[in-house]
Amino acid sequence: MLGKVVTMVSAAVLAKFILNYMDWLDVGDTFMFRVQPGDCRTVIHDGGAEDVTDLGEGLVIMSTGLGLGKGQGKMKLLDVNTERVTELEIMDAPGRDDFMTLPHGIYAWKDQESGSWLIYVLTHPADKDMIEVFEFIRTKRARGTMYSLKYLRTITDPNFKNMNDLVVVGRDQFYITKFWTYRPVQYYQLVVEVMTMRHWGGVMFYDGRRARSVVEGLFQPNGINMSPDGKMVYVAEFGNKRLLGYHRSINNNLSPAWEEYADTLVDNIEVDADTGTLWIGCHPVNYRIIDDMFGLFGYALPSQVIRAEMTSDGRVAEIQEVFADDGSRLYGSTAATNASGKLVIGTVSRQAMICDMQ
Amino acid sequence: MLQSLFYLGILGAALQYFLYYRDWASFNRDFVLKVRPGKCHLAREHGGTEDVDYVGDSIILASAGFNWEGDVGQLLAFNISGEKTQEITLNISNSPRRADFLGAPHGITTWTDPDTGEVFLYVLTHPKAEDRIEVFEVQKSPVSLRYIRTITDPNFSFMNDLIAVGRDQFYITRYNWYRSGDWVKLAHWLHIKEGTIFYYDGHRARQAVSETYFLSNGISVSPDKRTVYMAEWGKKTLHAYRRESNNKLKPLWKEYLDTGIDNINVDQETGDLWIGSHPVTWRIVDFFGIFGKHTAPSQVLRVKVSDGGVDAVEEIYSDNGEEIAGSTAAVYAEGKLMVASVFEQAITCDVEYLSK
Repeated sequence: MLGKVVTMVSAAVLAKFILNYMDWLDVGDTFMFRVQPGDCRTVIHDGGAEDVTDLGEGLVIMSTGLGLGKGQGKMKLLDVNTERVTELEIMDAPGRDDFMTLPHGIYAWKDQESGSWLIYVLTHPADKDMIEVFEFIRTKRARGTMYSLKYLRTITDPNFKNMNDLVVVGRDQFYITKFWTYRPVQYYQLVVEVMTMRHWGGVMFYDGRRARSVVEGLFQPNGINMSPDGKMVYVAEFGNKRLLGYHRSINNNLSPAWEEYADTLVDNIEVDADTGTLWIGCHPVNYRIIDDMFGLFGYALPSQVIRAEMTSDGRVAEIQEVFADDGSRLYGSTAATNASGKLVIGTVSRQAMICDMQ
Repeated sequence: MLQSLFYLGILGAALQYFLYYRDWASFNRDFVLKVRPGKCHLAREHGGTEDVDYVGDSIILASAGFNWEGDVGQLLAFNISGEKTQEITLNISNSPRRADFLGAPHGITTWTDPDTGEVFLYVLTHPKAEDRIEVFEVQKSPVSLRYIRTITDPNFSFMNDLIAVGRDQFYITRYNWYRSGDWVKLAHWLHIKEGTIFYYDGHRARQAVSETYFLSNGISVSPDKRTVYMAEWGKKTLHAYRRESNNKLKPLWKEYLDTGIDNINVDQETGDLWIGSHPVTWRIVDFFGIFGKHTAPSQVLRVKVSDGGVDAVEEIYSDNGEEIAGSTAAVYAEGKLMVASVFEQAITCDVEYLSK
């Protein structure tokens, strides 16, 4: 009798676990309705733009080539007025053949004293991650202004493996997310880590010399950014489909402030400098992005952008979906920003799009 | 051995049906993202407007006060021209003296005589005795109604919506076989194909399709009157039919939309379908309150169609139920979107952008 009860309870617990797991994978989601804020145009057709950042004055800088091979990553610049994309030439580049391999999260930091922009780019050469630091150079020519990047230095740390995105708070000081522990070459270990939902990710703080852990136990923390006043740090906890808000303390430690469930795999976060509004690129159907991570069946990746309006004390006031596509026009959105009133959306490895916003 | 396989087969089938039912009811879902086409404001706070129809000159007609008991409801008009939508209770002249006149008003449709320009309004009602379609002539300035006649038919058990294609000629969807409120409410969970489509030719109704449906709900027609669209809510599927010379309907295509589509309004200029829908099934069909206190979310889809089928499905409005609960219908006119719900609010939104 007791044996039968134990069996039934175990079966029920197992069934519940399986159902929750299938729900996490978004197994039942067959349909994606289109949502768009205005007319949209493709500005990059191939190579993607995993992370995008607005520099103001209609210029958006992007890291491209996350899906390509060694040394093939490029930094590109989009002018939202002309909608032209140009490749940014890199001056004084180091001679390494794995320089600019798989560029990932980026951050544009403005040095308030000199007025110059420093661009930090996270890259993934073979066994450890490297953050390349550039200065954004404007050269006035007779036929107009030319833009380029001047390589300054490379930042590494023994802890920097499998990082995803960063937010810079001072010269060479930044918070950086650690997505997972196994490297993509450790394929089977990675499959187990993801499919058993290990919370082995976290946030580190690099103080200019070395990195230390400030948040642990997160499930695939992806995008990271900060409120305009620097008091709140936002983390997109991809695996748990939610946004996390942290208070920043004087010593740069982070303490949890709030969690906001978004029901979609949140990727990169961009923050409007004037309103503090968050623009987040998302992957709405989990099993499809997992399929892409592990290169299995080649399902089309849908796209989605959500906008989170914040209260004055850095909490989420309202989340709204501003863009959605089933993948036929925009494949695998990862990041979005509001640049001079236009929505610029980047993807893992295919297109980048610009939409008018009324 | 064979017996074990047999039992395994039964278990497998039961499991599969369980998963299908869970997905149909959206039991795993309780989160709806907001989508807005522009600024929205409240046009009506309580009472519901199950169906709406645009008649031009900024006027939208609506049936209000749907209920399960057959209690008398109202007919309303909304003027959407100003910054704030105005609600107007319609004056009805010449109405019959029945105490149950306009009991539980449901689907509505209008038809304009191409020669005289006269506008007629047909309202499906559910007084306790029988389903009746009340026919009115519509005056627009000032907006008022004059009762003309009542249409009944022995085929009209519990119907849902209708679309006029001529003077006193319409297609009408049957929702259930039995008219008892409790049966209709329960039937939402039973998945029995009680529905079908009838054609009323001015004198009597006859079945227009040989198929049956689970909760056949909204029905409308293309601008050229050749294609009829029907929302089969129970199966979350949109159907299109070609009208034949004898007014029978030949199935053309159908598209699963994975959301509880309710009423359809077809834009007479573009042919776009504007559909009010219920994105989380369990939250709208919980008529017996099994799941406690909750509001039903709302959604409006714009479906672009061509002869071949659905070209694109856009989500124009979406809400978790705080701004509007249980949306059943939507109409796009003069740059604005009016969203109506069966029991609660009606709202009007500016539409800042619509793709071509």
